[in-house]
Amino acid sequence: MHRFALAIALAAAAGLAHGQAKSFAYEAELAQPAPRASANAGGVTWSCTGARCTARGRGGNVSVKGCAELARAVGPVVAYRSEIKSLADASLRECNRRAQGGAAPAAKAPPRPQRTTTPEIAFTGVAPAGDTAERRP
Amino acid sequence: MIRAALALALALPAAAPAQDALLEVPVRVARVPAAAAVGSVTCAVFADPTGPASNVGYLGSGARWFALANGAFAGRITVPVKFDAGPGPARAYRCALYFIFKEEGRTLTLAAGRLADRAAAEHRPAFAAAPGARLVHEVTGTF
Repeated sequence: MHRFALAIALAAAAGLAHGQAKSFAYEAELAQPAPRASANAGGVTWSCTGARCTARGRGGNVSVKGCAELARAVGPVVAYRSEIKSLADASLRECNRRAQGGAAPAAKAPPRPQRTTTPEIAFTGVAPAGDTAERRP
Repeated sequence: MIRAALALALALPAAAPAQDALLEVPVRVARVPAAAAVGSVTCAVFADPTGPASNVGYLGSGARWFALANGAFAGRITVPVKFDAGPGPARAYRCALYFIFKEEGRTLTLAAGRLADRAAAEHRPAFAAAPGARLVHEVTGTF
């Protein structure tokens, strides 16, 4: 937590010093160590060490969508915040639920057409049989 | 001209129209007069299980053409049916065989089911079914 506070302080100082568009520090705590050192989620690149991932991004907002993308990449998230905002517990649960594929369907898939195979239609006429070569489509 | 009509008939199903039901219809046809270059399977689907006999619960219909080569065809025709006359689900279907043929410059459609009716205006002796041969000009069933 101290490191996060330090990161915030450094970020604020850097922003003021350079007068650039505000960039915010993000932090996520995971339920278990991240299986990879970096991940792209929520529109930013996260760096992960152990069960902690950090990133920098504009806006400072946090979203369930971004959290879910991270959780899909590195596993369940127990804390997800920026310098100025953090996801509430209910949103964290939704984040992890979506990451596990439990999200409400974004768009209803079109219904599959009903399908069946009928009995055979058969016809044999009386035309001359000399040229009745059969053909398959 | 026949080639052009045939090409058009074969191209139409490839447009993959939206459909609510697909019926796979095995078709075996032989010894059809050379005047008929094209056959067709037309299917109707019904929300009511008695629909094929009563027409109750009609949902829609669809057709698919197939080329006759030397008066014959053996294969499986996939007929798409769009429910444009009512909501599904479909409970039953009816599919029937037709021949498209040229006569005196006109293109005519002959329902195979009418071949035995000598009094029918569209009766064509040349298209008669062979005596004793298996004839199934129409099939019905349920989904």
